[in-house]
Order: sequence, then C-alpha cells, then structure tokens
Amino acid sequence: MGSLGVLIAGMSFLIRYYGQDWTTAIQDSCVFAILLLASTQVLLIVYPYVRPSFTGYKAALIFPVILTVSVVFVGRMVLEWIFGGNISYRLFLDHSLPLRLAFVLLFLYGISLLILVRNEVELQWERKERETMTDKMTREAELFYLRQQLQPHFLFNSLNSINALVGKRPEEARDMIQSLADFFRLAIQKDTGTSESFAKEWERIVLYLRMEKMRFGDRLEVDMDMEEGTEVLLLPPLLLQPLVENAIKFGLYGVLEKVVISVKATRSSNFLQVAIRNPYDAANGLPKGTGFGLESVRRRLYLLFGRNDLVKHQAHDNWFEVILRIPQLA
Amino acid sequence: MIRVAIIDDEPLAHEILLEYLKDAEDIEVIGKYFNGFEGIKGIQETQPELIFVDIQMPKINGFEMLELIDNKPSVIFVTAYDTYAVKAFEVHALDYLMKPFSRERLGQALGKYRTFRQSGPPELSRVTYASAESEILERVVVKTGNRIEVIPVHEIMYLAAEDDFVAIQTPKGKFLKLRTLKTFEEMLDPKYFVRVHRSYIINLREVTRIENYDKGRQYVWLKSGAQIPVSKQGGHRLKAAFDS
Repeated sequence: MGSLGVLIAGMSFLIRYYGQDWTTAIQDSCVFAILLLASTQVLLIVYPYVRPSFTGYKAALIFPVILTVSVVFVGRMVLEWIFGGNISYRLFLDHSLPLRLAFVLLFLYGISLLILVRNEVELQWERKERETMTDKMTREAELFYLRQQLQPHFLFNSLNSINALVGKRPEEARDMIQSLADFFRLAIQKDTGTSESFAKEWERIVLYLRMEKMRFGDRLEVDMDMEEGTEVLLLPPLLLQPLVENAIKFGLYGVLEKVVISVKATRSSNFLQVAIRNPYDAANGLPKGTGFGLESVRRRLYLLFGRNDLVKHQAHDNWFEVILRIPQLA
Repeated sequence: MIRVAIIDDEPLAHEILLEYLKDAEDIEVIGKYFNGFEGIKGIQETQPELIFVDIQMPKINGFEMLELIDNKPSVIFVTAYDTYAVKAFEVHALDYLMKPFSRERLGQALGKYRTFRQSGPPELSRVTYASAESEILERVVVKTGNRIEVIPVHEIMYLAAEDDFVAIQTPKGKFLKLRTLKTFEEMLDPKYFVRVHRSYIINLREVTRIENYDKGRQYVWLKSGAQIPVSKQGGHRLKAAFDS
C-alpha cells in the first residue's frame, strides 16, 4: 500500500509538472500505478517457473517488454475512456506515450531483477541447507559404520575364529587375517565425496560377508550377484553396509535354520538397483535396531535426490527384502 | 570325569574350546549344540555337569536358554561382549570368558570348577533376566512339555498369579511360568503394562472399557472379552497410566 502511495504521488507530480491539473494527474497516476502493481503480481507468479539459471535470461528480458506494451496500451485505453472530451489531455497522452513506455519498461525490469535475485538467493540457500544435511547424514553413516565395525565384539569374534583356525588350518587363518585387515583399512579410509563407485562398496560388502561366512560356517550361505557394468555406477558411501549388517543380524539371530543372504545389484535405465534379502521369522516381529538402518538410508536418499520412493522393503512370512534404487545423475 | 557341553552358534568357537579342552585329562565333552533349543534338549538328555554357553544365539539367547533348563549345570559364559558380565554373575555363573581367550584363562576357569566340585558345585540361581539386551523385558520364553515358546511381550494380553506360577495369557493360549507377578511388574515396560490388582497385570493396548460398579468396585474389559478386577490401588495406577 505504501509503495502504491509513493508511486501515485511521484507520477502525479510528474504529470502535474508537464502541465496537467492535479485531478487529472492523480487519476492518470492511479490508473498506471494499479496497472504496474498488477504487472508486478504477474511477474511474481511467473518467475518461479522460469529459473534463469536453467532457461537463460531470455525470458526475463522478454516478459517485461510484453507486459510494458500491454500496460501502456490498456492504460491509454482506460484514460481515453475517462478523459474522452478533454482534447488537451489527449494530446498530452499521445505525446507522452514513448516516455510512459520507457518508464514502465524500466520499472518492470527493476522489479524483475529484484524478484529474480531473491528467488536465486532462496534457491541457493535451500541447496546449501540440503547439502549440509546430506553431509551430516554421510558423516553419521560413517560414524555408525565405524562404531559397528569397531564395536569390539566384531573384532573379538573374528580374532576368536582366527585363533581356532591357526592351529589346524593356517591357510584359512591367513585368509581371515587378510580380510580383516583389508576390511578395517577400507573402514578407516577417509572418504570426503558424497558418492563413490559401486565397485568399492561391493568390495567392502564382499569382505564383510566373507568374514561372517568363516565365522558361521555352513549355516550361512551368501549369494552375491553383480550385473556387469554396475561397478562404475555411483552411490553415497556406506549406503549398503548397514542394510547388509541388518540382513545378517535378522537372519542369523532370527531363525534356527540355514541362512541364505542374497545381495543382487542390477542396472536399470538410470538407476542402480540393489536388492538385499534375508530369511526371517515374522513371529519375532522386526528386531530392534533395524529401524535405524533402514530409516537412515531412506533419509539419506531423500536428501540427495528429493525422492521418497527409492527404498522399498517387503516383509514376507519367512523372508525380508529391501530394494534400493539409486538414481544415476549425468 | 567332568562331563561338559558346549552351546555356541559359531563352529569355530567350538573348535577352539575343543582344542583347549583336549589337554585337560579329566574333561569329557559329551555335547555340542549350536543354538539354545538344541542346548535345552541336549542338556536335558545328557545331563552334563558343566556347560560353556555363548550369549548371542539365534532366537533365544544364553540367559533365556538357562531359564528353561530344569537341573541346571554349572555355567561358564563364553562371549565377545563384556556388557553381560554383571548379569552373568547375578545368575551365579561360575566364570565369564571373553573371546578370544587364552589356554591359561580357560585353565583357570576349569580350576575354579574343580575346586567348587570338591566342596559341592554352586547352585545356579533362578535366572530372572529374560533379556540380555535391555532392562525392559522384550520377550518371554516358556516351556510346555517339549515345546519351547518365545512370546513377544506385546502379544501378552494379561498376566495372572496362579499359586507359585504366573499365567501368561496370549492369543495362542495360556502359558505358565514359575515366577512371581512382582518380577514381571518390575521387568515389563510400565508404559504398556499395569498391575491393576494383586493378582493381575494387564496390557493397556488390550483395554476396551473400564466399568464402575457399586461400592467402588471396578472392572476392566479386554479385547479378548476377559474381565479383570481392578483394586483400589490398581485403579489409581490405571488412571495414571492412561493419563500419561
């Protein structure tokens, strides 16, 4: 409202200066001020759909021109209708048209600039917010993973297995020591990026499951399958690890029988798809702690890709499956 | 000879124990079991006098397994976790070995057993911890005949005191457990379970309505149709639970 007042006052003075009487000047200004305000509204509505950073600035250059022509045209029509009989005013009106065009155009360009800058700043801010969240989640996942792995019982159980192997089957003991070392090395490697190659994540999972297999022997069977071409695909670091650990936990501690853990990676159009399946007993309900793993994965993918449909899980009578789809950008 | 059994879900954990135990000439390993269910059955059949028990095992953990064994042998826990040591000694375990353990450490544990054996083996107290993971009870294990039933607490409709037993009412039927209602009251999540009467604990999620009769008598109706009396004190507890 205030800006409307200032606008009307300013324009009235201007028109008065060019020799029209006050009433005419104020009426004239009111018409144009209202039209300008309406145009501003139009710009406010339209610009969010036209992001100059995506579409270039052409739209932002052309819109105000179209609006200016319409505003001046409509303004002239209205004023002619109001002051139809006033010859001197009509002369003034026609005379001042180029000036009005220039004024309105400048005004609308100014407004456009303001809106666009504001939108852009908001966008940047949002993006930054999202990035910080993503970073935070990555760090959390790393921490969770480290805590899991460095949870001494994982190490101690593995050492106990090695201890058992050393006497009778030293080759296997060596193998396990090597796996353990490689695994821990991968675990403490500093990963700064928000994504890493699937090959690396896969290697980590293979090592992890190999050690579990050595510990649990015939009771655990691991069925891993990676479609050719998926190794170069990208995913956020350590995305799968908590899910694989869940599968082990659910499987090994949830049922008495033999446990088959299956991890399958496929490529479909622009997605890397990973399905992790484990047996479980529906009667036990979902074990504690699985919620965190699944929820954090869902959340991370949401923050990175803004989509909620990337994680699906199905609980059947005797098996549980999580299917992840990781979009491949570029 | 000392008759010994091993209960652990990792084959390699068996191997190392067997290897170390071979050296002790007075030890005979008579049973090797890979989960609590096998363990209960095997121990009942072969009656070992000393058992080595892992804690984290499929379906039921080491504590829960012990809970269901009638003539309890002496127990040495063998685990990679140090967090259960306190609980282990609360159930009068003879020793607590941390994986990986040395031959000498195992020797010490055996020595302890030999001494106790001469002066009469220690009685393993009734295990009151059903859950190794937390202080709040998450499931109850019961034995009916030869069947072992694992009941998640959310399936319990109500508990009733019956002589020395507690009757656990579930959709699958009634199960008896040799325990006091008080121990249940202490271990069940107070958010969901309220002792409404000297002889009853109910699951709040099962409640359909509460009725007042004359002389301040109160009854609570459950989804299953059961009607449970509420004592005066129980009424206050019930109100407090619903208000919170």
